[in-house]
Amino acid sequence: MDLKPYLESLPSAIANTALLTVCSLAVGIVLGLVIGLARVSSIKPLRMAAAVYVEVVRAIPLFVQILYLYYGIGYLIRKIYIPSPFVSATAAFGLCYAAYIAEIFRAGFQSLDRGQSEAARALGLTRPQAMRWVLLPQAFRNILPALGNEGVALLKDTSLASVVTITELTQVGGQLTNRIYKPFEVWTVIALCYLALTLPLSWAVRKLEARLRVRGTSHTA
Amino acid sequence: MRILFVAALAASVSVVAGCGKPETGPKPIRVGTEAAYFPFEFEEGGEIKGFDADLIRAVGREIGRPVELQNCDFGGLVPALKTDKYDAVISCITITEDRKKEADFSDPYYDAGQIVAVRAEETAIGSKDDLKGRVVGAQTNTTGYDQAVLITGSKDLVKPYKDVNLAFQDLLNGQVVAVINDEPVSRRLVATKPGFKLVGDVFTTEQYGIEVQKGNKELLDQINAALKKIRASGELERLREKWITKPQ
Repeated sequence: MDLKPYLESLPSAIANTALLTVCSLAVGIVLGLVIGLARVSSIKPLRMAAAVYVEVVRAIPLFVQILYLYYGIGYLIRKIYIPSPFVSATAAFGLCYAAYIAEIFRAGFQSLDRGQSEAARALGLTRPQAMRWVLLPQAFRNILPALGNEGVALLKDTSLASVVTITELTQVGGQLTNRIYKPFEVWTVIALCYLALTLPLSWAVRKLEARLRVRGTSHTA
Repeated sequence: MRILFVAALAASVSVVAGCGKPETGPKPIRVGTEAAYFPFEFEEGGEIKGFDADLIRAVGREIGRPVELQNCDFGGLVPALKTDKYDAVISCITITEDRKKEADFSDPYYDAGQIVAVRAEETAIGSKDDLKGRVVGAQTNTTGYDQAVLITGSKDLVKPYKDVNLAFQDLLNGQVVAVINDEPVSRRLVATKPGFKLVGDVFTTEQYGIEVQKGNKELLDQINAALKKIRASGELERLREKWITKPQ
């Protein structure tokens, strides 16, 4: 096995896949939290808007969303702003995953005992304060395994970004196949690279879970 | 309801039985092509058409075997050939020394070369020499991509597209300043779609060949003999006129 073509192209491909995953997940979690909060809000229009967003985004294939944003919206706004493929792909992944993550947050909030929010209010906390200091930390702890799942799924989905010219692992796999013509070898290596990225991610989530597993009602953050 | 179900079952059984019927006549030649390269190979009404499609069917006719054309990503063609999914590949494939290591080429059937395409309103780019340090687009795994890397001076400046139509879409969207691609294809695209123009001259000399699996001398000889006949009878030139030089 000749390592040269791999050493030339894999490091940057792995970096691009990892960077795309981290940035997209950050967007997805922040936006997902906002939409998740809206889903359990006491304001009805907000609740409905969030529900519509989740339903619409979940109904469209991610691949189509990527093409839609990059080639479709990209065409519409070409005179005003030309987003880089990376920005466009990050937005597509972030917007899509936000919908799934919002549902996870909603489930997290709804899984908490009503007594938690009532006790917080009885102690004189406002609703936002109760959310920030009592409900969110507990919900976050509960949904961590599900969030980790989304992270792993997102990492694998970044392979779709090859269609918008990002040279991530899958794109490079295709190029390598056409350079050294050993499809079995190349795709085995690419699969192992994904494995090498997902395993540490799962491990990190488990570590974080262990850290946040607190007894009693002590303050967590 | 039950009658309907039985009828549907009978219909599906007969369809399956039809598929299982032993082949009569010669075995079809399985040919791979990337049907996203108008006017050489493209899909219309569920059928693969174009110069290459007509040519390979004519070759099959000369050999006396039907041709079964299958659509595939450009990057997947040679790997599929090597894993015996196809007997041959025809897809505007330039004959290069590197590619000869992986498959055997027929005699050349078409002379082509690379050219630069830009947006119609472009004024800053007059030839390929103006592209040094600029971001350009090309189809991945093509000779156009290799040329683009040479011209711009860096791999990082060349955006790789799955097919050439996406590259042209992105040229329109402003992501790249030019697309480097085979001249006959770019010329027809520019002639049929608004918003583009060609600049400079054709700057490479390339020849397309049909690929067969390494060592498949029998089929290669048959293809070459067929190509010779098709050229001698004037059919090759007629196909060129029909699809490339004098399209209706």
